[in-house]
Amino acid sequence: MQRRPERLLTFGIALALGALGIALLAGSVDIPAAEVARLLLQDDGSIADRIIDQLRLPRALTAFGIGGMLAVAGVLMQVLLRNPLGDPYVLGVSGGAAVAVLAAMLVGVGATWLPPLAFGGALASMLVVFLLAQRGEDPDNRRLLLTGIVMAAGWSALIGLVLSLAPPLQLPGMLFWLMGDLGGAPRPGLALGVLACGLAGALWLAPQLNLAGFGMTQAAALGVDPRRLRGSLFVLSSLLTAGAVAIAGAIGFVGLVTPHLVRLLGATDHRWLLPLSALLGGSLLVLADTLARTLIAPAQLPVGVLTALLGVPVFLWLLNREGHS
Amino acid sequence: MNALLEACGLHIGHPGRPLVQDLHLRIEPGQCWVVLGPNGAGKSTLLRVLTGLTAPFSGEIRLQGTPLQALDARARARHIGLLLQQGNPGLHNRVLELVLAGGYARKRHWWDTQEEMATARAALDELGLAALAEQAAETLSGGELRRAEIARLLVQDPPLALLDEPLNHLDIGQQVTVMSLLRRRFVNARRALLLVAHDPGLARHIATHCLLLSGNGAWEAGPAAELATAQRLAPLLGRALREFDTPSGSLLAIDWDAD
Repeated sequence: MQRRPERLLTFGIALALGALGIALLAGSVDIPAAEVARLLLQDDGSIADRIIDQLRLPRALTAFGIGGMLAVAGVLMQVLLRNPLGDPYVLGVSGGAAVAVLAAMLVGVGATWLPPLAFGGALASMLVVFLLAQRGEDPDNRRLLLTGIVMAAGWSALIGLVLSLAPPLQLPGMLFWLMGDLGGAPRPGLALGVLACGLAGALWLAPQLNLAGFGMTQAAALGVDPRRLRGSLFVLSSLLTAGAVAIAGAIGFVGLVTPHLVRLLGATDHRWLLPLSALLGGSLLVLADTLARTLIAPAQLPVGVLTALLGVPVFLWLLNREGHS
Repeated sequence: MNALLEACGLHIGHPGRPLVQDLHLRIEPGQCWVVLGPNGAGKSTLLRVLTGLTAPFSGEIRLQGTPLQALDARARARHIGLLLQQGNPGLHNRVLELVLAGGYARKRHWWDTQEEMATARAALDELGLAALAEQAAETLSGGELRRAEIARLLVQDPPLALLDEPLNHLDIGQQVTVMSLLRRRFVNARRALLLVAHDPGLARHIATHCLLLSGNGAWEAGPAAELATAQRLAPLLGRALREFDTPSGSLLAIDWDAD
């Protein structure tokens, strides 16, 4: 099944705009669509205006940025590890962030310090994995995968330790962070900026990513420098993941499933796969977050729960349809 | 004029197990080398070393006069191409994309130009795969995948191509077609080929030169007329060989009954 990639891109953009539109319309205060459109263009200082400009829009854009970052990081990780199960968290980047954040919560560090701590934890974990996996020849990156998985296992033991030591009152906050939550201070500029930079870097590497699918040895014979590509992939995907985790916690599923969704839709060339993944991942997270804040309003659900609840049936349906055709 | 490839004092092997010692090799335009040797003699490793994918223990390799280490990955791929022994259809790509990948080393644009597409389709056509261009590469048969990878090598178009058992999985008819295509595109075009093979007949009838590896460090290199004889090959292959005189020259064949 081969579709015109241009058509897919149009579909992706339409989907993203649709998802953002739904996010702006949905909420406990009913604002009609025409009013939302008017308030986007001009400010009148009304309550509805503030709801759109200060609550719904920043949160939706943040969700879009984070979803896009995770999806792009997922594509890169799947190429790096040559493994369809690759996801942004498989090498322990999120584990490092989680341990730093939970430990800080345990000793009572203020909420403003949590994002930089998460970012630092993610980077520290990434450095340890990369330095340990650097030695020796590793054409298929198996050593890297094993090092990362073992590090991730170590981090999750530490997460368990912190959770079991934490006073019961702190547990819900910790669990929300672990599942991923966009309820904190939205950072639309940061999220979209990081997504744009990450996507640009990934697109620059896209021709090499297409070659890496044939195995690093073959790619090297065709003119790819495997050490440099591996390094770039690792750094880029880790920075994207660390950024996403720092802003919104460890939101699962988007990074693993979005690249597969896009491939099932018919895009396999990374020059198309990457932008489409960013659009689809962003849209998925915007929709999931809209549900997370409206389903049981005024209470909110952690968005990570909904990404999986939404993503699993869509993915299984597409996979099954592919099998029949 | 500089040789396409020159190897001096090359030592190859695994720690404690030398495979090739102090190898000197010079490949000139218009030559066709066949490498023969028992399993595990270091034939594939030699190819990877000559391509710069694996470092030798010691020794120097020059491609058209330039030391191999001085070339970056893309420049290296413009000098020398490698067909690996094991085919790989890639993760999710079409056959056309597999062949297009051969153009990476010469790519000047981020997108694929009309010219690149045309070159890739022409290469597929030369290998009789034009009809499969849009198909998923994973669905190819072993022999089709082999031919698609050879098409990719034609797109890469290096002055020197190293091929590790290129005729694997090909039916007899395709073996002849592919060999004559490779000779036309490389040997007759003042380029060069180096093939790893197990068929002594290839060494006799296709090669201009032979490299014999015994796997214990010893090696012999020279014109095929001297090395590709029943007498010289029998000890290397561990089996008796027979020569049959025919009107078109003498054939070299294995004696299936000798034990």
